[in-house]
Amino acid sequence: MAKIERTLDGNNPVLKIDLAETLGTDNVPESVASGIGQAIIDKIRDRTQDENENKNGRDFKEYSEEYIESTEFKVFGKSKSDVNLTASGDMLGLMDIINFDGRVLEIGWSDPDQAAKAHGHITGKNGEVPKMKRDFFGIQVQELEKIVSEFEVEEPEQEQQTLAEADLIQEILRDLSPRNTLRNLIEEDDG
Amino acid sequence: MAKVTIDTKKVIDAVRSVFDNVKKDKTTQQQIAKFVVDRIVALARTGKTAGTGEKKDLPKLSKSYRDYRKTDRAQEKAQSSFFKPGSSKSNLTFTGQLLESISFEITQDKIKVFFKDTSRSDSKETNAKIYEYLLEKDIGYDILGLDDAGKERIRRIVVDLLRKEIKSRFK
Repeated sequence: MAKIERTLDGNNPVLKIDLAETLGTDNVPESVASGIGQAIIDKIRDRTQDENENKNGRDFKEYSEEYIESTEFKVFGKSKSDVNLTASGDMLGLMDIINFDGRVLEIGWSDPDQAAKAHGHITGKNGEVPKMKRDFFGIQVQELEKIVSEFEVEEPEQEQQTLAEADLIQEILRDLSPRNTLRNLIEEDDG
Repeated sequence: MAKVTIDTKKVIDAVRSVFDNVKKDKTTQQQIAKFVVDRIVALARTGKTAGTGEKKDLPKLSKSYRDYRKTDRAQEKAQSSFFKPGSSKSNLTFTGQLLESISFEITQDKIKVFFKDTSRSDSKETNAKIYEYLLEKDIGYDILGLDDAGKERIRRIVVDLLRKEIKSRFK
């Protein structure tokens, strides 16, 4: 049975999915957790940006006139009819898997600025300043069950072999730090 | 107990091969380059820069220049829709030509972002020269750079692509 929880402590929203309970196994491979986590993140992003819907599948409230008249609105080429919580794209672009302890998968933000932005949208508050509440951060049980149905964990030896290799790949990808990934990709001109 | 043997060489060779291919993939390089240019321009238009690696405000405008910007003559010359006559802070936008001249070049597996040496409608100097002049003043107009969030966004683009490629290889 799918188990989903969310915390908002300290301006830091975190979505927690108990994969062990959801999948009905104590042995959840990291590669499976990563796949499910990425699929959940993609679902939240697509629902927010393409369908302009909150976590309950309802349309977001419209942008205020003040925001529509702002420089930011123009600079990022935003449209009144497309309430997608996307200006620079950093908040939704940097939503990520932040922890997996073998049972519970956590999704949120490592960047405190983006976490605070998300918290503002979720709660409708920006410190003491009220703003429009647009709660995009969540997943419904049926959405999670559909995602999970594509990741069955089986015991046969061949399946274990594939999962072990996938876990190793996961380790390698996790070690791709920004410095290693960007070195030789972007030339910095010191001249 | 089931025995599992991982051919680590096979896995690492496959990942390395995918990484090399992704690094050289023109579509990916262009996607990253466009992302960098769009980000630098958008940041500047909102009055900010990440040239030193941290996001901060562009310099304040002098009072005399602020007064000039409010005149009819200035507003006739200013063609950019991002020009803000009443602003006390720079957003490197008057006619818009300088920011519009930022471009990129992809050579082998490197991306270079720069101001083009293109002519301007309001000066004999080129856009590249104007930017050089602004840099020499050393008052905070160094805008060709990325903050940590920008670098992380690029890392995500690459890692997401790597994941897709690796997944398709290990099906």
